[in-house]
Amino acid sequence: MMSLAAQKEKKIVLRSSDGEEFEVEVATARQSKMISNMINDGCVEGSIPLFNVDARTLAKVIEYCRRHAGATRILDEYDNPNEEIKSWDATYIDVHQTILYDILQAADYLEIKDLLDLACEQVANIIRGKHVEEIRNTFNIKNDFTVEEEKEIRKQHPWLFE
Amino acid sequence: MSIGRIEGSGCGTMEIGRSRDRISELPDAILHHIFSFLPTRQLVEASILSKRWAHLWESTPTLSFSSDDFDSTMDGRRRFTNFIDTVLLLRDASDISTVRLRWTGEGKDLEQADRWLRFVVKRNVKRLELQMHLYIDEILPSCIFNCQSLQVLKLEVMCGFIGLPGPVSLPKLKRLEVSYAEFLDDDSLKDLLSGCPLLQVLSFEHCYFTSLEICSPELKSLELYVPDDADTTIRISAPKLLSLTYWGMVFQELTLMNLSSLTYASVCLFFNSLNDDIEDTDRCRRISNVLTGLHNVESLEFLSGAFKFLLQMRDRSQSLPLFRNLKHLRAGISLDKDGITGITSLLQCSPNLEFLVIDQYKVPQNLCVEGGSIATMPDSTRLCHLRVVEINNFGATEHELSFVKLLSGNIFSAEKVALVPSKKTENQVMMHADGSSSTTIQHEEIQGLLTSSSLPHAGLQ
Repeated sequence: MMSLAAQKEKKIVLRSSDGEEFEVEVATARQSKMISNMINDGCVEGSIPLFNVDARTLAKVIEYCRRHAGATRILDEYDNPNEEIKSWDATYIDVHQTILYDILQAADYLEIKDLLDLACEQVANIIRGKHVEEIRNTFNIKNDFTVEEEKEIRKQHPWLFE
Repeated sequence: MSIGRIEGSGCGTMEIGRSRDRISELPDAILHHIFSFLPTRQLVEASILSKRWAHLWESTPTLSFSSDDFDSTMDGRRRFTNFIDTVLLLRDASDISTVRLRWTGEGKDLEQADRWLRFVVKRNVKRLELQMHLYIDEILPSCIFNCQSLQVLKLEVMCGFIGLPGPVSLPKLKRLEVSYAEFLDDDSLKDLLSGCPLLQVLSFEHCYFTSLEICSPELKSLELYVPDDADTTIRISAPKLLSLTYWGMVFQELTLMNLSSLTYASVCLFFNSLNDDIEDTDRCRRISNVLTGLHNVESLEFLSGAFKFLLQMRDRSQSLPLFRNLKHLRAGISLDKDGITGITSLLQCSPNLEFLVIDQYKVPQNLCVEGGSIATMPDSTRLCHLRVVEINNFGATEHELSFVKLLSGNIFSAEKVALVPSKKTENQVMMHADGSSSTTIQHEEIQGLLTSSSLPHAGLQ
């Protein structure tokens, strides 16, 4: 077992889909379950290519992992994060929709559970309380139902769409 | 309107304009994840957005129903129950992982709730959160206490009663949170806890019971907020417990045994001479017992109006334990004569302390004890490891200054001493910084105290 100090010093190189390399601490990289598994299997010589994450998104994801690597939680998933982290998270995730989806998909791909939760909740907050037409406008969703199909759906829950 | 876009690889796609519908491109699992934060009603409403969305709700693993999302009229109530019936009836055969049901106000029907809960239990529900008003003759559906797949159970029965319907078998339950409930008898509470052999996290918030005995072998985190007026005794024995949060009154008997793993503790012992008639000796014994049970902790938050009894203990042949592992101490006290005495007693038992935070609050006049002399700290108290001291609500009173002086004589390697003024005195301290006449002396006095004890980063904040 490596000491904490040694773990901190050891670096890992991540390469984004557009070829940019990022050097990160092991503890930061381990926030990703996918990369953590690779480290455990000893497959981290050289740099790790991440085909699904571009440089802009990767930089943003590393920022998150670095902040959370320093925050210890004693009870894993049963522990609530502290207020300081929560307010940092809120500022961090307050980004343009495009970046939000990039982070969300990167978190899913890299298996960073807390970041995936954070990004999904942010999208949920955008949806919350909006009417159907507002949601379509906000997310550019095109109504592809025929008149008959739409009628059929409305019939299933008549009072929901009054 | 047609706006072009340049496709990149994967999620880093560059786009021109705003016409791309990225949310609909997300896989079902992620859309379900997003909607797990929203009422199920909104996901069903989303079925009209487009074909992509039409059937998503039929397979969602998270169901969240609240009567608040519907009118409080009779009609609204009927729609609420019809809605839940429809969602359960028309969903596909996939498992349900999480169910939240909040049902308040008129028209609650426990038989109906029982049917819904039976349904989700059969779909291997892992997490169940119930918020309901219950009355004395109402019993929670028994199926939730015999659910083989359940891992998390949250019950908020809002000043209702919990009588358990029979034997409890929750073999996978890891987390149990109960709030605003009155347990009808101690046996049902006992049955509940013994039916959860793998319990790791337990919380009772504002629950009434006459005696609570917790001896859960796997328990890691425990939170107890005991109501002021509950006449109760609590015994805790949990060898794997890491974290304990306890709020209660001194007169409520708390016995801590076998807490060898305890690392974090936050304990508030309130004391009000008006609502209990126990002797001071007894109070000392109780506080001493609690602190003795906590002696292994690394981090302790201790708030008590009963701080003054810490000193009295010595006179009454009660003693404080040695906090050998204690590194972080956060004390909620008032730095008056009693408070200083109490905190000084604690510091003397904490040789390895690194961080000290004092959150000052005002003690009501009727609780102050007059007489006695200000505490002193024997030379043998060497707080060699103390690195950071923070005193909040610092008002630069005579007592506070004498405490800082007391400390500065016993610390050797502090990196930071922060005296954070209270809102009320903030202006005053600002004036110090400006160097205005009357209060400057005090400021310099503090600075003098701090620099004389070789503290490189000491100062008012």
